[in-house]
Amino acid sequence: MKFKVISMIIISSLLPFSSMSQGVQATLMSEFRAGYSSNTYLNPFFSEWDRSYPSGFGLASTFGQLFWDKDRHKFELNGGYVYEPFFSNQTTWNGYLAYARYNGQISSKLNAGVNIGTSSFQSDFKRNLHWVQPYITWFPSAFTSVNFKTGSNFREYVGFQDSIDTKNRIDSYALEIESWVGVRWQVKGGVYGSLENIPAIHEGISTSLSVGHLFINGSRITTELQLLNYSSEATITIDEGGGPGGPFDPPTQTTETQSINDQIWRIKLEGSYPFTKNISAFAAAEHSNYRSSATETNIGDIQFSGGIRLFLNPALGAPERRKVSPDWQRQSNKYQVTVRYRNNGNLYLVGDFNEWEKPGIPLTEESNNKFKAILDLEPGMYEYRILLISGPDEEWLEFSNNASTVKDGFGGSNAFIIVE
Amino acid sequence: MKKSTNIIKAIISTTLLSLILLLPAFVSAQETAFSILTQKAANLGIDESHITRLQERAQANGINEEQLAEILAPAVALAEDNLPFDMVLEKTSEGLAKRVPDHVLLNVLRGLQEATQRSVDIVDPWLQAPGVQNMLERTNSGESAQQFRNNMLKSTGRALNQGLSEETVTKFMDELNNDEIMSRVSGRDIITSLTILPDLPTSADNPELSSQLIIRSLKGGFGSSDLQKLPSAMQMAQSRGQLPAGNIVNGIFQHLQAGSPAAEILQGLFDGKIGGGPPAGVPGKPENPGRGNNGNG
Repeated sequence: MKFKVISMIIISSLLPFSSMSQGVQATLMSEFRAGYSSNTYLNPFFSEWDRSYPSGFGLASTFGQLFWDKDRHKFELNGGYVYEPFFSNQTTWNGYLAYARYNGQISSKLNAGVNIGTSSFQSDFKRNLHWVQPYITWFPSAFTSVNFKTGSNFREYVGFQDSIDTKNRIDSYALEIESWVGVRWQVKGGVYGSLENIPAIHEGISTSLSVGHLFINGSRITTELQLLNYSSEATITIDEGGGPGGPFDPPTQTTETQSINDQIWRIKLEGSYPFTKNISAFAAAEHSNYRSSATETNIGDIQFSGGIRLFLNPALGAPERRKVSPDWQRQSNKYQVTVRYRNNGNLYLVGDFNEWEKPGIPLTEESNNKFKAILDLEPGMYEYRILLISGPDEEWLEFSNNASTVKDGFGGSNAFIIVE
Repeated sequence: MKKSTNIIKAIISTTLLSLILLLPAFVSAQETAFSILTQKAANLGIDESHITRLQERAQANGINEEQLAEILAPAVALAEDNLPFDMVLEKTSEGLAKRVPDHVLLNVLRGLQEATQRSVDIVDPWLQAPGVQNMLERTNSGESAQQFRNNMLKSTGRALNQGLSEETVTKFMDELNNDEIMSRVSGRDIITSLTILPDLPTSADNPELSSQLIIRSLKGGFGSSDLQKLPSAMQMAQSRGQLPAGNIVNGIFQHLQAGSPAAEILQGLFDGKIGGGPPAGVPGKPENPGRGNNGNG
């Protein structure tokens, strides 16, 4: 029921943005990964403490992102499916994740927004998560952002180790700082905790620090260090591991009450290399060390994996709303313009070079939705638009983001070319 | 009763007769106003056939000759001052093609006229500077000095018409005129620089920052074709990175400082990777919430 409610909220919150179809961008990302972990706590998307079967694993995921922007408002919708088989015991961890995010620019230094999402994963048990997380981001300088977020997570376990189904809610906060040293080094730090621990925040605070270096070819290498602290009073027996949610929830066979201080150190190294704009390879290695004051034990785990990621930016929008990006090439004393367009109708160039006389200079289709025209141009600057005529209808086509455009003075924009 | 009917008939007859007699005079007066303007335009070197084509399009748009005379007046006024008027005629043609309401069109054209007139005091002294003269001689693009002046006046007038102050434009052009820039740019680069200046996302709030960006970009090896893409690339970076424009500019400065080529900087902007702040969210990234028990902070 909760899924339906959250889905309805996400869908209904999208409706106001449907009219902004011109500003929609889409990204599709697929990841294919293989690796090994000694504890499923370190597995991507899993993060449940289980050391009972160290295993090789695979992971195939596909995520899509729709992104709208208009003026100071941005909206994105993300969703995808994850399939993660474990090779040792033939089980799989699979499910979906979806979230919507709104971001508004309040001023040049302040953004605010909200992240609402849901996920549901299952293997021999099922875990559902829903979250609502408002945030505010401050940019104290051009290279630094400070992000504060707080919100609620609703978590539900069904059929976990034959125990009764559990539901809980965690109200949490986070303070994250990101700074760039030059444009090659990225430093991120964060403090995370539960609102329940306020004012005694030291009892449950977690911290993370990551340093990334971006190379000129788009490669990236990042190292991340995390320290997760958990303090609680509980009745426990000396045992390894715990219930749902990691090693911190005590087993049910208890004999005494004592204060528990759990710590997990995690260190991760990840590198990626882009073969093309659409394909990149990556490799990651991670080590964690769990230390509990209750058991006075140290448990070390590792995870390493690697794979490829594929990115696609499909064109969106109704065909008549498709944007065009004219490409100009000089050919001796003439200029050839090429436009890619997929739709019915005839295209014409209308602009300073023909006194804006309609229908204009026809663009003739050469091949594969590629339209061309050759112009003899004197030196100077020329503003122009592309007119689509389909039967009795005329439409000025919009230009894509990578076209050279200027404001036309009438509230719209023209493309332009400067001829020397 | 009969008497009053006769009086009414007499009034109607007199009115009709008056209208019939005065109509040619009205028509003649209208033709005269438009005719005088077109004659003046022809004498000043404005192509008569161009005026005729505009007249035909105006009629097709439901604009009468009196309104058209008002619309053409800014171009004629510029021609009277021996200033380039073709930009105003082009904008007239564009407005008619786009069916812009005549009062909006008129405001835009009057703004262009006034801005072009103001730009003379900025452009002419600048053109006389030795560094500029050397650049024009060195690059020798085939464009005459008069053509280059006209294009400079057009671009400067456009910048002023879009709200940039004369001080900003003058300072920008003075900064362009230094040895480091003039030794590597062409007239086309200068025209492009002026053209994009008002269109950068930072220009409305911080035109000085926009000026600095263009100056540094030229010093960093940006050419005309690179500069042409800069406004839309910055808008894309802002949109993808969800960052204020100032962050983007500083990111570009850093790249220029590091010697990154223009193509790489522009691609980085289009991909939302330049801006000094958090890159755009990508689905499936580990820091996204909802993946498990941690990371949801």
